[in-house]
Amino acid sequence: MSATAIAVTSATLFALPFGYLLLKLLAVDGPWQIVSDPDTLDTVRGSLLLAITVTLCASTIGVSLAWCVVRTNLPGRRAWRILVPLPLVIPSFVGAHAYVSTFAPGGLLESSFGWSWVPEVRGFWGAVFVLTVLSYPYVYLPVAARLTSMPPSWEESSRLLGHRPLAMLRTVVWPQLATSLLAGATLVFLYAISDFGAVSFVQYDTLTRKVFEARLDRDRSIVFSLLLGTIALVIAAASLRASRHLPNIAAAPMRRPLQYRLGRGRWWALGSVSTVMTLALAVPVAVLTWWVVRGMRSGGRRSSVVKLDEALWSSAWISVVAAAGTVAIVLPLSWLAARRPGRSVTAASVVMSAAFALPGIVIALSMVRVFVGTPLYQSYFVLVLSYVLHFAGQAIGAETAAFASIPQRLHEAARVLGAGAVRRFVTIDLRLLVPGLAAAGGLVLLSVLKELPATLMLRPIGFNTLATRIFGTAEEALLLDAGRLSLVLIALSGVLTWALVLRRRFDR
Amino acid sequence: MSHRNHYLAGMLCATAFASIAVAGCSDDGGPSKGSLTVYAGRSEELVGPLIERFEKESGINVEVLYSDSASLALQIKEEGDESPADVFYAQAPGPLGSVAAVDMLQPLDPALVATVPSGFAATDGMWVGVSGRVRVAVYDAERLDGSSLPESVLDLADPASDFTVGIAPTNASFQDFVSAMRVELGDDATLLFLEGLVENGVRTYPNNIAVIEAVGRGEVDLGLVNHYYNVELTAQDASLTTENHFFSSGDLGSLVLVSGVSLLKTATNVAEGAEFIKFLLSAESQQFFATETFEYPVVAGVDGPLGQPLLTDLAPPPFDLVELGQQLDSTLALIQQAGLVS
Repeated sequence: MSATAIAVTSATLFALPFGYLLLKLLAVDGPWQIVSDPDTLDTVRGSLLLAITVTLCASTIGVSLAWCVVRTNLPGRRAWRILVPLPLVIPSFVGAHAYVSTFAPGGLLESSFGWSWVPEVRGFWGAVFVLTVLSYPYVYLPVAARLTSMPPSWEESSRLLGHRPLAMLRTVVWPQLATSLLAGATLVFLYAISDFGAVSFVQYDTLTRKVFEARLDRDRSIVFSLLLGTIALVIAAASLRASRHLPNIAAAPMRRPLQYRLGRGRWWALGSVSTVMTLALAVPVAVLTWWVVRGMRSGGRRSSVVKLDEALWSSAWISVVAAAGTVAIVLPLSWLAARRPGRSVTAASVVMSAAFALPGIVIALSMVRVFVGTPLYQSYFVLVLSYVLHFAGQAIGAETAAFASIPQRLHEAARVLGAGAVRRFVTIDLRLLVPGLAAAGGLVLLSVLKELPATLMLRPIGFNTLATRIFGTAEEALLLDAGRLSLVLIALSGVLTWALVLRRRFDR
Repeated sequence: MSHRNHYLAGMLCATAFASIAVAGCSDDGGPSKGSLTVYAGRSEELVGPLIERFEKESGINVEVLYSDSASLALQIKEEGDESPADVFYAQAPGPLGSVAAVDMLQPLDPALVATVPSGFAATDGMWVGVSGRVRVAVYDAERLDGSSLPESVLDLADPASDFTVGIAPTNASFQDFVSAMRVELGDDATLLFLEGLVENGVRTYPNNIAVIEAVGRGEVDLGLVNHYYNVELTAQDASLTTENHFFSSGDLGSLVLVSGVSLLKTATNVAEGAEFIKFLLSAESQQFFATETFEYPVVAGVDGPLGQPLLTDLAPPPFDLVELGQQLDSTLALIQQAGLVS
C-alpha cells in the first residue's frame, strides 16, 4: 500500500467524528449567529486562556519531575517512577470534587486542622490547579522516556569540552527534549480544552462545559463542538509544524543514562517532588479514603448492584485491548510520519491528534450514526473503535518519535548482510520500538480506564467498568462506593502501567 | 531481555487480533419473545433491584442500558428508526419531552396513564410519571433554626432576605423548577427572581451533592435541591447536620418533579413494555420507591418515604408537564441571561 493510501485511509477513519459534526451543522439555523455571539467569543477566549496556562504549568512541572526522577540521585526514585504518572488516571470530576471539598472554606483542611488560610479551588485558578496536577503526566512520561534513552556520550563530551552545567543543558539536553516536550504539551493543551469534570466542579466556563450542559440544545452544542474541533486542528497542525524545526533525535538504548549527584540539593528535590505528589496524588487518595472510612463509620448504604471484581476485570481487559488496538492502528501512519513525511501524512496525523479534543459524547454519537442498525452496534468492537478514534492522538507522537529514533545505519548494515524487509522489521525495528510503543499504549490505557461518555453510550448492555460504576454511585451520593471504586481504579492503573510500561526500565 | 521484547510484541499483536475476534461474537441475535430493552436514565444503584424483581415475576428478560437521561435522549434521537430500545425511562420530564418532540414515542394505554393524578403524566399520554421528588431547601440544623426559614422560595430573591443560597443551575431538576416558574409566573417575574438570587450572593455548584456539601461547610445558608440527596448524604456522613426544609404546600419551591417512562414508536416488544410500565405503577413498585429510593409514590394509597411529608400534602404541579418539557431551550437562555451560567 502506498504512503498516500495509508494516510488517506487513516485520515478518513479519524475524520468520522468531524464529518458527523459537519453533517449536523447543515441542520443548524444561523450557525454564524451562535459563533459571533459575544458570549461565545468570551467562552472561546476563556477556554484558550485556561488551556495555555495549564500547558505552561504542566510542562514546567512535568519536565522538572522527569529530570529529578530519571537523572538525579533523588531518594526513592523507584517508587516515584510508579507514583508520578498516576494522577493521569484520576477522573477529573472525582479529582475536582476532592480538591473542592478539601480546600473550600469549612472544608476538610479547615475543619480538621483549622487552616482557614488555604486558597479556595474555584474559578480560573481553581481550574488551572486541578487540570495541571491531573495532566502533567502527559509531559512527564515522554520527557522521562527521552531522558532515559538519550545517548550519554553527548553529555560526556560536553563535559569534557568544559561546558558549565547550564550551558550543557541548553546546548545538548534541551534540543533533545524539545520534541518530547512539544508532543506532551500538545496533549496537555488538548486535554485541558476538552475537560468537562474539573471545569464544571470549579465553575469555570469553557466550550466543553457548554457542549455538555447544552446537550439538549442541539444547535449550540454542535456549533461549540465544531469550534472546539477547529481549535484542536489548528493546535495540532501548529505543533506538528513546529516539531519539523526541531533537531533530530537519537536513541542509544543500550546504555544507562547519565545521573547527576545532587549532594544536599537532593533533599530540596525530594521536598519539591513530595509537594507535587502530595497535591496531585495524596490529597485525592486521602479524600477518597475518607469517603470510605466515613461512610463505613456512619453505616452508609452500599450499592447492591456493584460487583467490584467484574468491574475491575472489565476495565482491565477493555483498556489493554483498546491500548493495543490503538498502538497497532497508529503504527503505519507513525512509520510514514517518521520516514516519508508528506502532505497527506501530515494531514492524517493532524486529524488524528485533534480528535482527542472532541467531547467524548460527539465521538460516541458519530459511532451511533455509523453503526446503528448493524449487528456491530453496542458490541465491544464499536466501543473499542470509539476509544481508538478518541485517543489515537495520544499515541501518534510517541510512536512517530519511536520510529524516528531508530538509527538508519542498523538497517543498512542488516540489508548488506542479506536480511529481508520482514526480518529487518522484526529484529531491528520492533525491538527498538517496544519502549516507545509501550509508552504510547500506556497513555491510551490510562485514558480508556477513566473514559465515560462513549462507554455509557456504546457499551454492550450489561457491561460495566470501574468508571461507569463510579459515575453511577457518585450520581446517587453513594460516596462510600464511589471512593472505594476510585481507589481501585487508581491501584489498577498503577499495576497495569507498571506491568506493561514501566517494568522493563527497571531491568537495567 | 530480547525474549521479553518478543513476548511483549507478541502480546500486542495477540490483543489486537483478540479485539477483532471479540467483535465477531458480540451480543446475542436480538430480542426474542419475552424480552425487553430499556434505556434507563436512572442509575442501576437505585432501580436495578426493582427491575430484577420484574424479571422474576414476569419471566420477561430485561436488558437495561443505564446512562444519564439527557445523553440517552440524544442517543435515541440519533438512533432513529433503528433504535434497539423499547422503553425510555427518564429521570425527568425534559428528556422525555425532547424525544416526544421528534415524534418518537407512542401513546400509552389511557387506563395506565389514569392510575396517576393528572399532573404527573403528559397530557398527550406519551409518558407517565412513576415516582416523585420534591424540591426543598437544605439547611444546616446546627447553624439555622428550621422554623425561621421562609415559607416561599420567592422570598429568597427578596432584597431583604439574609440567606445566601446555593444552586446547581445546570442540573435538570433546577431547570425544571425554573421552567415551572415561567409557566406559572411568566418570564419577566422568573428573570426577576433569578436576578434577585444573584443580587443576594447566590453561589453555583455542579450538582446537588456539591450544593449540600457547601451547606454543610457553611459556605451558603440554603441549598435548593431535590429532597432525597440529603437523606442519602447524611447516611454516608454522620457528621453532616443538614436537613430538608419544605416550603409551604403549593409553593413553587416545593415543586414535585417526576421521573417518567415511555414506549418508543419503534418498540418491537410493545406488550412487554406495557407490562413493565404497569409494574412500575403497581403498589409493590411504588412501595419500593418510598422505602428504597426515598422517593414519593405517585399512585394514591401508598405511604411516602419515612420521615418525609406525604405527597398528599404536596400538591402536584398545576400546569402541563408536556409544556414544561418543551420549555427547556428558553429556560436555559433565561438562566444564562440572569448570569447564573456565564
